[in-house]
Amino acid sequence: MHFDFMAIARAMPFLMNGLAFTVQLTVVACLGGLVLGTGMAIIRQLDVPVAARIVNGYVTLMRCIPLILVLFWFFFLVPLVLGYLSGSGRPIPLGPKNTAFVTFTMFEAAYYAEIVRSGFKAIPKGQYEGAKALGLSTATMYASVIIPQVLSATAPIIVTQTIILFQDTALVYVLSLDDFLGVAAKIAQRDSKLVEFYSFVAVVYFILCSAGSELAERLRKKAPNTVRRVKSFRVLGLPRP
Amino acid sequence: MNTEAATTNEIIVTVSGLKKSYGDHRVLDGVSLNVKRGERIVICGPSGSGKSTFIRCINGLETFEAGTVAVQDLKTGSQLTKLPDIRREVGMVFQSFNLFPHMTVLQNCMLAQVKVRGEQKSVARDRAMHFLEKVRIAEQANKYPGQLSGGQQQRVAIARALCMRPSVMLFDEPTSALDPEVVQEVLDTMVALAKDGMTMLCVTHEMGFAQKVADRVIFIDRGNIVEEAPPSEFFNSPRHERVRAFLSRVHGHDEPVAA
Repeated sequence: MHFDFMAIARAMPFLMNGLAFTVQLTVVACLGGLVLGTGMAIIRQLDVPVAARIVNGYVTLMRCIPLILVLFWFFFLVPLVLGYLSGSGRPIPLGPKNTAFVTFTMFEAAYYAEIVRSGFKAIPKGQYEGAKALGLSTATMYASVIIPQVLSATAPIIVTQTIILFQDTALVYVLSLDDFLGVAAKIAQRDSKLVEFYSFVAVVYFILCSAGSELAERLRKKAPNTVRRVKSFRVLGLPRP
Repeated sequence: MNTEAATTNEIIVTVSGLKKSYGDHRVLDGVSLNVKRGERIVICGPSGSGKSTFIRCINGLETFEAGTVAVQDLKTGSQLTKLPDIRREVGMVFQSFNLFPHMTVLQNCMLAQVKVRGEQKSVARDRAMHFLEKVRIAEQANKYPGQLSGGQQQRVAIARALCMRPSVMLFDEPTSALDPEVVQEVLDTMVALAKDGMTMLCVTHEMGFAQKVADRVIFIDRGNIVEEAPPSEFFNSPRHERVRAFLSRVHGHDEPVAA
């Protein structure tokens, strides 16, 4: 059997474009998801009437349906809803790229929300009291005192979740988007070089994700002169698609 | 040997008819107290007597069902609308320090000055250093709380509260979580503060401290003020049996207090 790894070198510009999109999607969904998720966690933490229940329902819903289904929902149903809402009667398509960004951000937000919420529980009550006794407003208390400690306490879990996100972005192939895996798969089939391309893709994913795991491990070990770390976070035991 | 009292007749804290329950358990059963500017009050009593809850009601860390708390002319009813104003006037030191572990000592002292009082950073830094020097810990300003001993952390906590220029300082068992060998440095800081004329309400079991600086010692039991007297009277001729029993228990571990 003959392997032609030069095919990969020739396809490198396309592969790098694909990887760039994968990274872009991961970064956007991670940052957007963290901001949204933190907001949702605060709403639940403060037990804001009505909003806390909506957030609770949203988080449960997102964590209980397969990501691929969420992708389809956003791709097919949201344009219909937007069309209905705008009164035009015609669906307003988001386009595959926007769908991907929106879906992953919204989906990850639910997971980050749970992580951040577990972080709130790890902050000693005295931190809230110390902040209140100094006269800090609720907003300042969360922004300056609580959230920084929560993020540092949950950093390893956030990184771990982001690694999962990075792998999950490969699902955008269902929207015919050219992410790293998608590009590789297309060229592999065109050139009939399946083994070479899929091996290469696996190696790249492996290197990037183990670097991420290493980072998570370092964050976990990094002597905290801050708060006690959130030791475990049980992700709902449902299989990802 | 009371330090010369700078007490005036101006009432600075008024608490009247404070009531609070946890379910069926009544923690505070109509506690009333007036505190004059410059007065040093030590509050003691058996554990679970409601003394901590009482001072935590003053700055609204605990809610209460009935009664009023007023600091200067600021009133809080049950709706606690003026709570931010009260908290600006009332400093608090906790048993567990509650310093912010992700900030340096200096940042701990500057945060509320900047965010609550709207001070310039340079002004806040100067004032923070001033009070850190006052509690003799200025050289640790750039360390994190986790790098300091308990006694040092508690002195930082005192400085942090003082940076807000409070009219009243509340101490909630400030030495109870400390190793015995560092209790004294915190007490010394509190004595110095008392000498400066700060109005202080201290929940503590340190009877030596009470003897030294208190203008009044208050004994709370089962949600009520049982006895209220100057230290000489409180320690030498307590009127209530419960106080006598308490004192003999406390003195069981402590040096007997000299009059």
